[in-house]
Amino acid sequence: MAARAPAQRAAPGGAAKICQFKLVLLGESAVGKSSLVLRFVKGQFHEYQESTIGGNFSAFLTQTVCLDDTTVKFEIWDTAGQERYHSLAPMYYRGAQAAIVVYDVTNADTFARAKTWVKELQRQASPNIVIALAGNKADLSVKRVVEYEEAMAYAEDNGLLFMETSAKTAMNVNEIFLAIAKKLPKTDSRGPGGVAAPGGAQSGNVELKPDGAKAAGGKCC
Amino acid sequence: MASEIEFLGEAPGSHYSGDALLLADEEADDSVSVSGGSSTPTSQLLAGGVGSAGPDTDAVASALQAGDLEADRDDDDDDDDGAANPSSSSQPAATGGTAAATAASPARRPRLASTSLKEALRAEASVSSRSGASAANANAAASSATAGLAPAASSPASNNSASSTASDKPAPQAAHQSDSVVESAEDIPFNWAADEKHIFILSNAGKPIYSRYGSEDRLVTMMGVIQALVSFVQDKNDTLRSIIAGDYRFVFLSKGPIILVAVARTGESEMHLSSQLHIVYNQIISVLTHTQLTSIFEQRRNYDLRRMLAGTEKFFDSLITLVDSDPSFFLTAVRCLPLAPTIRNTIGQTLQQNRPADLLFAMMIAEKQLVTLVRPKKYPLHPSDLLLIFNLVNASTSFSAAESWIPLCLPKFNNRGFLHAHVSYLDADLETDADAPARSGSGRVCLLLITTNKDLFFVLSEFRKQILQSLQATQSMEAIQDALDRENYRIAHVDIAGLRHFIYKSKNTSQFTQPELEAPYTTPEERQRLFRQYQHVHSAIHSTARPLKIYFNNGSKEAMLGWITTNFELYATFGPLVTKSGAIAAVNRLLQWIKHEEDKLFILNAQVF
Repeated sequence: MAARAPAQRAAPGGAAKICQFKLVLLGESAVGKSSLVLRFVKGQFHEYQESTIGGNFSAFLTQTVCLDDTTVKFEIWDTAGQERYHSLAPMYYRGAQAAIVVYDVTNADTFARAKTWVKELQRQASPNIVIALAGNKADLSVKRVVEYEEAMAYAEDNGLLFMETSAKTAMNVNEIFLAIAKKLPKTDSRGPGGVAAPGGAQSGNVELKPDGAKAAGGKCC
Repeated sequence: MASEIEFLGEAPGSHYSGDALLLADEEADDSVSVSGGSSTPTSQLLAGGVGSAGPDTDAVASALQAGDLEADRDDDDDDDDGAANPSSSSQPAATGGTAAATAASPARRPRLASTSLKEALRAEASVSSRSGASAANANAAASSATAGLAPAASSPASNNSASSTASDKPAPQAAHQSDSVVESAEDIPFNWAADEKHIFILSNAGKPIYSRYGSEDRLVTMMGVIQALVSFVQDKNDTLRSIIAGDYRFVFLSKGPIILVAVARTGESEMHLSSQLHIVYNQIISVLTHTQLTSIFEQRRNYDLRRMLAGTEKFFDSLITLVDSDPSFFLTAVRCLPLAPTIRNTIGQTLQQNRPADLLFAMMIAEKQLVTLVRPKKYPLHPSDLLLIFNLVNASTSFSAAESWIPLCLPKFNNRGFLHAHVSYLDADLETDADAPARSGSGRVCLLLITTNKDLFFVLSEFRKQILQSLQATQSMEAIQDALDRENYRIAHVDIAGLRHFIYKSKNTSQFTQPELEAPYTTPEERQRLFRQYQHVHSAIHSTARPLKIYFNNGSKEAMLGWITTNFELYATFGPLVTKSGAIAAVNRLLQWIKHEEDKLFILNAQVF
């Protein structure tokens, strides 16, 4: 199995601030959400990953990264992409500070579905949510049907972070999480908020961000 | 076969006082198994069998004849592989014309092997699905069937007939090849006769939902036949329960908006196949709830339910495999991990201490064995619900990668709503913050915390940590690991001459125990054969027409004994030379041994709060 992810670990006691963020992964089933998370959290990749870690159900994982003087702890909800669980999705993105919407570059339907998720997040999630779009399975370039430029243009229009990723080769996996961490407002979470309770939007979120996610809220192609 | 069946008086000896209810009383289970003495009028179609009488049967039979199925099989004694024989006389028009035309040809004498049965029925199916379930005449059948099949016959004209029957007429060598190639489905005949047992699920509208083998899409026509058969009989205010054709038994279960069908040449009884269909149906409910299932089809009769069940195929596959090898399912009982009662109590207390208010059930499962179960006093957990949970845990190999949060419906507990389950392995490394190297997939001991509150995840996650600490403090984890490492007990421990194997079910607790299978039951074939023997004894004892108290059959390979009392069911296997009195003496000694070991083998005192 693959080597351990090189993501920076929290230096014990060294970091000045600790931030905790709730992050949710959304996207059609079988686009590789669980694979991305497993790559990020455990440095592993399974060619035949069972549909969602828990077998079609939502799974919860955590990972900590160091960013300058801040320790960022991600609490990650890997949600099930199946249609029947769509109605449960708000439970997971409600109160999330960040979302990664994943599609499969070899499947145009999943890109269309990703756009729907982005719209739903812009409409219903916390207004400051940082949304990243991940075009996964980028290693399968021969089968590619969603072009980089197309997705990039969409992401720019909507103020999304965008990267093409590959859980298999680890390409851009840590990077996309780090990019999100950089974009998130760093308020020390050891005050109120604490462990992200479902639905509890964090108070620090009132800070406006210079670009992106927020500005695009509500209007979209 | 030298068989003796005896009725004895009320069996002696009660082994448990009635208080040790861990699980729900089994009475409720009666609603699951099909009762032969059911009050609804039912008819059993014996196609090609010894002519069975009764007005309903006749009506159906004549309707079937409209599709040119004759209840006449004088040349059909070689049915075994008839279905696999493409050049059989049942396909006279294979070189020209469509299969539908063939089916409608009055001169044809169809074999009553399943192939021809299905083919003939399909002709009728097309009629029924077009013009309602009426007894249309053969000509109508022919034309509709032709029209209905024409689009499917897309392969070259020279191969027309073969392709239009591709979904159910197998070619001898095409065996499992068909499963792997999906793209060119129409070109490759689906050799459905190659497999012993099939389960099909379809909607009342005839849309495929699930097939154990092959792709549902290619079975559309067969689904149509099934739908037509069921609705035809329903039209007469009757219920189609089963059809016997050659070695095959077709068992039908119509449940609300869906129809389930088992097709088997395993020799299993109708009762068992039907109860397996109920189990599969409950699996659907556990994913969707009864409410959702009903409302989906109320809104759109034509709905393709596969969209809602996407990703759950493995639970069905696993379940259907398990019912063919695990006695839990026909016994409706679970197996417990053998543990000293003091250890089990300690673990049970750990699951109860400081439990969150909304916790409903807490349980630990290790390798398909129950370690312990804690529940509220007033809410028993039905064993068949528990078996669905076992299947869920068993079929998901990667719960050990993370804590999971699962909406789950337990049909016997409440089929209208979801419970939420926090599922994790206690012995897998989930602490990703820790410095320990990442590993996953190593978990054996699964903890399930089930609640009605969908927002309780983080509370339960904390509770899990507390349980883990407490288990480590009391060294219970080691005890469980030891019990798992230690192999199950062997028949030698029981030390009764001639006894090869047994299954003992304690009816009060809905739990059972069995030793390891040993020689001569070491090959998969022999194990499967023994399993079928047990099923056979079980259905003989539970036969609604003629229930037995004691069953003894001295066969050529082994002697089987079955014994049912108010407190237990016992199934024992002896060498073929044992005498009946010898066997009875042996089981009496066995009962003493079980009595001696019962506090280890069973959970006698339910942990309730």
